Amino acid sequence: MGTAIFKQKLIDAMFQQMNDAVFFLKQNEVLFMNPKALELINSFDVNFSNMLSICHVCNGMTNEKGYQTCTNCFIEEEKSLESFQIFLSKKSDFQAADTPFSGSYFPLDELQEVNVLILRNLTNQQETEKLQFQKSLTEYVIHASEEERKRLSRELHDGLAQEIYSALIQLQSMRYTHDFDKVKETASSVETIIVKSLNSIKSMAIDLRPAALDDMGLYAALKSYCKRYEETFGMEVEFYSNIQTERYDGNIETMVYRVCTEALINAAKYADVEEVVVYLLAGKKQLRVEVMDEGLGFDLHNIHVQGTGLGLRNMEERISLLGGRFSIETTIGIGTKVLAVIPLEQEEQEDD
Amino acid sequence: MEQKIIDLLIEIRLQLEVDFVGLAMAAENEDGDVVIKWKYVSNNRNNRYQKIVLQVGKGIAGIVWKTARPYVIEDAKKDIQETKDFPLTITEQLVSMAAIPLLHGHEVQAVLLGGFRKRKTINQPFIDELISICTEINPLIDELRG
Repeated sequence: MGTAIFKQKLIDAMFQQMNDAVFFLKQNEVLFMNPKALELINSFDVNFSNMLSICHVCNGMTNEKGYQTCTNCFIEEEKSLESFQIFLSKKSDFQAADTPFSGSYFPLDELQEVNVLILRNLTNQQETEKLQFQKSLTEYVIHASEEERKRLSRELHDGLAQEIYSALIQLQSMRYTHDFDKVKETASSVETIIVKSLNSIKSMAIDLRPAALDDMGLYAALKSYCKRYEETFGMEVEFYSNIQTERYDGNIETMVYRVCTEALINAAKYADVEEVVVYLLAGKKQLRVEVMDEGLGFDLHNIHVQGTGLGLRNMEERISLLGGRFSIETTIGIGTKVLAVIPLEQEEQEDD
Repeated sequence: MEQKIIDLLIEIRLQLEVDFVGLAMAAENEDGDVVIKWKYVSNNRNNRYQKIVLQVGKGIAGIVWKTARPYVIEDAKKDIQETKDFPLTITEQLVSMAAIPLLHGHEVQAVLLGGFRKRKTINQPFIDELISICTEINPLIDELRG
């Protein structure tokens, strides 16, 4: 008997003190709630009394269709979810972003139609996640730039330096040769080496940043990238664009170029197809880039299978810096579409 | 003639029990520079190999071309940092492989690659076998080059 009372006492205490808001709902009425739930009702726009369903207070949930969406809502699907994420709006400040909550909702007594709703504020947790993500993104960028340096250093040392060294040795040998034919032969061999070195330097420079991007604009730069890409990865690129010589803000051109090349490289590495389609379309107000393949596709929620997934986040980050929209549509076995839409309004203002 | 080489590559693949065999040869690009292309293959997954153009010194074939020495990749997943330098490992999903130069005097005239799509140990006997097989291909290539 004693333990039963003690247990009841503990459960009561937990109910009163817990940080999660707990509601016992009978149809649309709150039977009981704990202090945290009262606090929540006071500060958020939640009114159960004239609520037809939880949809009246929920501003969307997080699922495979999106971060804050009503598509495939667990209620419509009549699924009982152990936990889900929903969004509530603040009472005092309607301008503020909706606050994310983790919730669970389950029937307690089906006969009497009593349900339990438990909500937990996720703001802190999400801030931490955001910070963590920022950190890993920074690490990724540092790592990528370090890898690039390593690669360059290797190419300079193993490629270019070796070639020039061998040209030097041959030039030195010429000094001690009196045979004119031999000198001519060596000279032509040195010439070959120098032509090769020049080509290496040119291709390294293009790899770093194509001059075409600054001189001729986005279309020309991407066009010539596509050609190099075809030879590098053995892919076929269908490149369609309605821009030719139009120029855009330098930042936009660079970012679109980088995002496009990154998406193309991803397609070459992971899609396992022979063809990829690129659209670069400019409207009055926006610039739209699409990179599509009919390849393997992947699971957006489990991208760690092939890589870190940070490349994708990096693209997203670059586009959002320009105030643009970035999305990836992918279905296993059907293909992948990377889409970036960048607003061009700023440039128009400059023109005025 | 070409059919003879392709038949031989199939034979090599069966004899070495590898998943893929490729023969790379020199070609000229639009600018008249020497580039290397995979000319003949056996058991390819797709035709992407045909479009790959390697500079001397780049890619497995390019490295072998430049150094005139065998080149071994034990595990592509671990050994390759920059996959874009080794496109054939992507297109043919090769994991362990060895490539050797086919010499004409001191000059490399082709590169022969045998590769596995699963992790396998590439040891000296494997490379030796690859080299001994080359003696069969060499005359064919001489003939091809006229």
